[in-house]
Amino acid sequence: MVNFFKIRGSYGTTGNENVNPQYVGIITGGPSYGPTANSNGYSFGEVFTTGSTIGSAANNALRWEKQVQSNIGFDLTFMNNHFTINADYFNKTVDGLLFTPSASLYLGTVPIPQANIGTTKSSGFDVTLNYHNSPNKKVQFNSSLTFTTATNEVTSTNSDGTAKILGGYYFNGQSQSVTVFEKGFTPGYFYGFKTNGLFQNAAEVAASPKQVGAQAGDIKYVDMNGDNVIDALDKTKIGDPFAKFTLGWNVNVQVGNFDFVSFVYASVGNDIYRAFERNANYTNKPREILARWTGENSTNDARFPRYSFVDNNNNARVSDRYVEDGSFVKIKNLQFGYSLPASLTKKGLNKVRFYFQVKNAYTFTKYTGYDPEIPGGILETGVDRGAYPQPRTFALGLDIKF
Amino acid sequence: MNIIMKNYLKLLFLIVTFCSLESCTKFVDYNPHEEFKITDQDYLKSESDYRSMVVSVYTPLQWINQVVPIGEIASDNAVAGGENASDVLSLQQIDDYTHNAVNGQLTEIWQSAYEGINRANYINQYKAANPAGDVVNFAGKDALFGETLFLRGYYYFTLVKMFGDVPLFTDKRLSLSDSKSLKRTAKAEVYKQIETDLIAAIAALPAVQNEKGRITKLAAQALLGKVYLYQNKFDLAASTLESVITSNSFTLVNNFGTIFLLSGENGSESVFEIQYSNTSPYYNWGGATRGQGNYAIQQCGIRGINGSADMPYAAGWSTNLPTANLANAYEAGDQRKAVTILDIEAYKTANPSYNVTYQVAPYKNTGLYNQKYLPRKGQTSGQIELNYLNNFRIIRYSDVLLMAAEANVKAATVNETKAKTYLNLVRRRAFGNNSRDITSSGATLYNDILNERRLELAMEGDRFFDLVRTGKASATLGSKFVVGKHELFPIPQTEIDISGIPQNAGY
Repeated sequence: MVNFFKIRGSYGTTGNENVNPQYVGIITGGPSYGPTANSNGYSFGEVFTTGSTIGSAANNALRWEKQVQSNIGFDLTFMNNHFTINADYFNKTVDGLLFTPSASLYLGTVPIPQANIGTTKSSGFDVTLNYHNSPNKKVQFNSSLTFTTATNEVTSTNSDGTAKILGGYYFNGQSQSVTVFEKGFTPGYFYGFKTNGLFQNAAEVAASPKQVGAQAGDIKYVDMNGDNVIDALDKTKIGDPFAKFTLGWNVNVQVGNFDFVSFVYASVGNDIYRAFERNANYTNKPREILARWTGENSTNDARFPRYSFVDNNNNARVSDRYVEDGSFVKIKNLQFGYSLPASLTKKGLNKVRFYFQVKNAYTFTKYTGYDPEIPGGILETGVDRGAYPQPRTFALGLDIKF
Repeated sequence: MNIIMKNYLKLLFLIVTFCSLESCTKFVDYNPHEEFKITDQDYLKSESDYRSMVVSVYTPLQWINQVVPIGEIASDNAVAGGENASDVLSLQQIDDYTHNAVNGQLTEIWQSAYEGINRANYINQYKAANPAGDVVNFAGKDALFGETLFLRGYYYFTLVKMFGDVPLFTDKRLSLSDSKSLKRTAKAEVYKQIETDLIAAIAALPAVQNEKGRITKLAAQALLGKVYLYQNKFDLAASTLESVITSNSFTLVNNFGTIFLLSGENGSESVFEIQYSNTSPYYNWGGATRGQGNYAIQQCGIRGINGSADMPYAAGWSTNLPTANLANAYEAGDQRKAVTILDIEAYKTANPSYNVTYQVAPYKNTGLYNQKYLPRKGQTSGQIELNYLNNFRIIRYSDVLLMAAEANVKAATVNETKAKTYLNLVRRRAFGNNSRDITSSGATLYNDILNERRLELAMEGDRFFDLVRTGKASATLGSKFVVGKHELFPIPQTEIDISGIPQNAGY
């Protein structure tokens, strides 16, 4: 039964010093086109006079980022080498994560130097099941399924553990921030107001916790701290951009001169924040707007409040009305090939193969945006600013090997 | 034996590896001089370094540009206008009194004012000795530092009148390790610091500066008078403003309209102007107010205005539109009305030769425009929207006269005669003669003075703050103004979230 069995374990630590050199620098000359437009100079009368000012800062507490990764797992091959299992439990901590921190605005406009913002820990399982069969010389079948699940958590931030690093900035008339890096939470979790349907009538507005500007048809926000007032203190976790688990499925078949390759990827349980929506005049709206609140009891769906550009209730604030389940299954690659028999290939050509390929063939998802697969790093994960979707490409190809 | 040796070697290797890992705590030494960078240690070595750095303490004055439109839009003088209800949301919400702590313009003002304070602090920190520890002395050094004290006072005054209690620091430029370390300081303490700075500035500054727009002693006195007035310290305000008046350094410009032309900039009535120019074109939309141009000019322009070559105005975005309420507040014969407000239809009819065409303001149209600061042809450069040269007239002599009048009416020793003299100087200029002199007294006189402030200074950014400090905001603005809340603007939400300081009441 068992053809091969191995238990593995590893422990490794690596450092990262991938930051720009830091020093307290002086800039001169005048206008700035830098990230904070930290210009200098002034006009006396109509005469422009250049100036000088501090243009960069150093963080004396800066140190290396340290990653410690350990894993323990096993490799098992059984049933006449047809099946292989590679299973791992992994644990990775990043200590002194290098990132540009959020700093108090009263520090001014000198760009904030990168710092060690905190420690994150991610741990989970990674299991790959591989099946291989080759009943005869002409047929090869290979398939593997990879399952990964991990939990991610911020275990410390630099100061007393109350530091919040803000990110996921987007503009919907005002500049908003949706993600937060904070101790005890997933790095870059979504932070905003929880909604609880819509106000159906004025009596309901009056009976609810005080919410400035609210009227019938507006979103009802949840009074998280129970002080009977809806304000910034009621902001809470409204979503988690990390998947509960992901799956990758590879199939590789070869029958005679024909071959077939496919790759399917699935992500389950990741939230997406629709940061591309803007309550602006003269712009297209999603068709769901047709189901909006139009009168008492027309709908209680907080995603579709009454439609008005004068937003006294601030329905456009960061809230879970913009959060969606971003789970998806994506057929990422399909490829059919045919190789000319060796007898047909002329002298000097080793192999001639024609193939037809479809990339991003289809996505199964309930996500209403363009593409649930959103690129992003720390504090950017799951924030959909209307990123250009991955294109579906069809390709016809010819491989010639000499 | 061999196996044991091998294991020892492995162990040794591990130990060496671990030790080398431990030593990774420090970065590779980097010397910015190898890349020809100037560091703080290399700077402030000469008089010109000091002077150059002081110039940049002025720079954020230009960035707090939106304080002026906000001071009008939040009041009964102007509406936000714009293209539609979702355009210029930051100003729109302030106009509608639905503004909240997420407001781009308020954040910009907050952060810019603090950059100014940090710049002033940095240079003051190295007044006695530069970062390398050397003493650099030169003629006029104290006067130069007087400018930085005025500017720090002005930045704090902007913050305190908008946000109330704000973090106060004067010892140094803050660095990353100071983030999240400050609390809000009581308004009274902040005002005390502003007074200290301005008094020191007055002692150090000359009465006249060679360069236009440089801070003078008189500008510092006028600002101090205003700061006293904002605290209802009327006696001090009266005596401080009196010294500006008796210096005889300023005269009212006869023709009110010319004050706001290019030729009228830094004129005989100008006490303090925030300077802008079009000589250093700026192209950065990512920092629209961070160049040398005045962004508020483009904002208030008439949409799509077109006409003959001699028609003076250039097109803009129809924001910050004067209200009919303001237009109606002027009496017949007041030359300030036409200077303050452009009634576009009346203008079109009165000047058929200009062939004026324009787009009616698409939102909150009043048909009226902010004539004092309308964009004019040929007064911008580069990215035209960002580079209008118009200075903001922050303190004019007429403002000083009206403040002095108000202070004299409210002072412990009331001097109504003096108050009326100053008030009527302003009115005589407005009407061209003394036929409209104010003769009232008591509360009526006080209200006449406040009304005169509105008419004289309309669209110059004072109205909302005047209404609040005189306690007349609620009565004037109606129920949309919530007493106990709207006297102040909200602290930017980003600052609340990062720095953990409390928000103003009601937001």
